[in-house]
Amino acid sequence: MVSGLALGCVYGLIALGYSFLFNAVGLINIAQGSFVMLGAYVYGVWFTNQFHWPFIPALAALIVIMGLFGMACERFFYRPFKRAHLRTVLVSLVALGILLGNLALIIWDPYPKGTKGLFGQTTLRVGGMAIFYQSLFIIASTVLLLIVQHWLFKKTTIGKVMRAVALDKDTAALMGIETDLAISLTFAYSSILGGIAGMLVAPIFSIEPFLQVIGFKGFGACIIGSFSSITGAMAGGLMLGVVETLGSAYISSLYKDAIAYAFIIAFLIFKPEGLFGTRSEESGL
Amino acid sequence: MNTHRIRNGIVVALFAFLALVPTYVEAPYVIFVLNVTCINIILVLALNFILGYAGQVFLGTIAFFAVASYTHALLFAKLGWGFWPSLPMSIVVTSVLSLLIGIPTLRVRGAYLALMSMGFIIVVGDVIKNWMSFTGGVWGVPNIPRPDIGTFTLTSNLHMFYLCLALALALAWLSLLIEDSRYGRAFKAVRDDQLAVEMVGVSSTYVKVLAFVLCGVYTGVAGSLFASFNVYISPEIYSFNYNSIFLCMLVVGGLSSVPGSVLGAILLTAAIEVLRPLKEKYLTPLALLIIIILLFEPAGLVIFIERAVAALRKFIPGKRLKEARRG
Repeated sequence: MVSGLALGCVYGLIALGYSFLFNAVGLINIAQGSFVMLGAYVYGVWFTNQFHWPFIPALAALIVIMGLFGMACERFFYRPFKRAHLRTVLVSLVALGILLGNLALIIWDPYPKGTKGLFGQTTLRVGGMAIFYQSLFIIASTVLLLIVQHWLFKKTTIGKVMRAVALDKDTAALMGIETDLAISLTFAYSSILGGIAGMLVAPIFSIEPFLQVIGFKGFGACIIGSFSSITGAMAGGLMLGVVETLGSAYISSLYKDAIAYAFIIAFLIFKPEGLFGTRSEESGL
Repeated sequence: MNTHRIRNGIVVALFAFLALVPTYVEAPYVIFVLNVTCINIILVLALNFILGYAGQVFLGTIAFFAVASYTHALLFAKLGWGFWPSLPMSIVVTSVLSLLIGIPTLRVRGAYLALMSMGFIIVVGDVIKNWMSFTGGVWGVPNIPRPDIGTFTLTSNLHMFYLCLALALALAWLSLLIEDSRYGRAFKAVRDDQLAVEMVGVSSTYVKVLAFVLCGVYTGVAGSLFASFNVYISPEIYSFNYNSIFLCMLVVGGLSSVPGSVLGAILLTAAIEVLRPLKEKYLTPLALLIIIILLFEPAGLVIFIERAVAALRKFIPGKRLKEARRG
């Protein structure tokens, strides 16, 4: 159950990455899962396994790298196509995903890697249950991140600018806000969220290019919750994580992914606007 | 009319080129690649219906392809149905499946569909890998027989190639007919302005589901051919990488264009063979190519051929006279 919640937190973080971009530019970043994969590689394989950096500098470096990387992606894979047909943008992002998967193969190698994380396999015993410290760490970091994010968006100028652009691009531009810069920052922020999610899952999953598919789960979390609200994204992530973990415990671990997707598809059919969303035609849902 | 003739001409020329290759090159390896090329042409044409004409970013063709291959393999190898009864059966199975998947997912647009279709690939892969008793799990299905025409069995790859080529040509021609029909226009209308389509009283969901089912039918044929051609199928053939390749082929050749799809399939199947030394990194140049094409010539490489042919035609005096007379 706790590992389900922890997994859910990770899905929720990925979902947040999607929902930020969706609200800012009305675009679902198909390559979000690749950001997660890249975060896991950079943090797990480089910083932990090779350089043995302590946690805080490694985290800071990860944030800087992922931020710059997100901006670069915006510059080369989104901005040239922003006036084109939606199909063009999506194909470009699919290409970005392929490219990142291959980049991981070029920089590192195709063999799955493990990393110990801060706590290794140590567990906390509560009553008869064993809980991984890593799971608790994931939950705690997610809560912390949400608080930081709340502060960032409500109190700082950058946050306010980003919110203004998400709300109404044209009016924001009239007010003298550099919308391109704000969108670039939004890409950076969702890339950082992806990177942190990658850092958190690195000790649980093996690090390999295939980790990209975790992005679909985060996306599913958005479908279950809603694209337009942070609460929705987090709640959707938690539900999905719990359903997946319990499903693999009680039904079949082989069909763990299939169960999660069936759950997502059921939502898509019966409640496409999600638990916390309102249906609107303009958002194209 | 003129552009239609150029378009049809290019399709015929490309197929003629493929048909002539075996008369000059007899290496078994080349014949093998030619078979793969034809199957890829059918798959790219399938993707073209949904991504090209209807403009919906569905990326799960590989899952239909896998389902079709397995249906064919199980009917043919295990139940002994024979090629010609199994082929329509796998078409029926994939089109019914595409209908079932299409109706819920096509109500939503854009990236929803893109991501759900990738999830669909994972689900299909999981089922194939884990349903041991039915699909043979990771070991796949061996000993799938080759098709037979009358009493003649197509055991050689060369004969198999002519069958694949004939079917690919027929399907390409069907694509052209559909493109020029009112359905083709409906697909493109949905792609360009969904709201306007709804306003004139056409159900955009119906049109999209139709494009989707056509995609299922085409992948059904390709899956059957592939299973029989390859003799053995296993889950790892139907990978994300293979799926990305169709997308590259379509974008590089030319979205919404039959000659573009055929050209893309031919060029990139050859390119992949050339890129073999890169091993598992062979998709890197292809993904870069997609971005370059999108940036500089979103109509794809086929537009260069079309322009060249159009330019050449100006130098033929008889043609020019005839056109002048026509007005």
